[in-house]
Amino acid sequence: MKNYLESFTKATSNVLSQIGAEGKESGEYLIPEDIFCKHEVMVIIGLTQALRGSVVYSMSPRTAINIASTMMGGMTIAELDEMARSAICEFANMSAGVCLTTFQDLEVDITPPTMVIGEKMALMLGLYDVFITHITTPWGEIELRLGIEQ
Amino acid sequence: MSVEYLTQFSTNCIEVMNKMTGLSCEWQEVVPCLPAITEGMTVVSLLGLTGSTRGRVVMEMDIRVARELAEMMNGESLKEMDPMIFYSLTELSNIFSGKAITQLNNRPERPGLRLTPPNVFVGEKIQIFAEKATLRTAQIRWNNSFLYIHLCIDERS
Repeated sequence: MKNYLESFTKATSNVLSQIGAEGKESGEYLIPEDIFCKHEVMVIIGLTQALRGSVVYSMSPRTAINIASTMMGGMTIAELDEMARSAICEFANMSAGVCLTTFQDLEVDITPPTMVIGEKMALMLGLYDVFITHITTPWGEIELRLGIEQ
Repeated sequence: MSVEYLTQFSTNCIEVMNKMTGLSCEWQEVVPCLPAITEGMTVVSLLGLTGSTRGRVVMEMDIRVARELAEMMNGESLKEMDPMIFYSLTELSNIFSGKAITQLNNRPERPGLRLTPPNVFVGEKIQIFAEKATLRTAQIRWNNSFLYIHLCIDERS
């Protein structure tokens, strides 16, 4: 499963570079120690068909605002409003879509992205193993969690 | 179409809850609002839909109701934030959604729906944003407790 997470991470870095930002992958694919999340903004994309599970992109509101601003050509964004949320969902959608194109022998479908924002958040991705990794961007960290039914 | 889908998910939820906990519940469609619970600790189980219709099914309740349901499903008392509460809700949402999807897929139009495994979120002041989606909400009620089932259908599907 680590190789799938690696593909999602690489695709996210590619999309970051396409919008003009540099993403540095941590290269570590770990099992999370607990279900609690340190970030408040999460975008979840479900996977069906050959891979059944979910990939979750999480980040701080500041990181989200900066990514959205960069995607919108440097437009000033004061808060995570509807347009900024839409941009972050699109960012996650693009990242997952780019990743799927690298799965040559696997037919995988993705669900539309859903953004969840909250405080003191905990997340349980189904009843199966989950791996986690990080990408460092100029505006903070993006955490990727992947849970796939074996 | 989304009314039929909401009916299917709600009736199956009631049926499965009755079999797993013995509860007799009623459901009604309410003004769509996601999330419907905005105060305190909220528990959300989210399942994705793909196929001819794309979107998501969201089961939402507060932590007290989540614990009450999990205790009835397991037949034992559970601590607050016990992982078993979330495993139980994962199982409940997976069973009723899977059942609903099977029944919808057996209809003459054969929508070819597929379901992602459930993801359970717990937190305070939760906001859920689904872009370009039509939302319908059902409230499932028993005694003095209730939970919500939200169906978000992607407008582009």
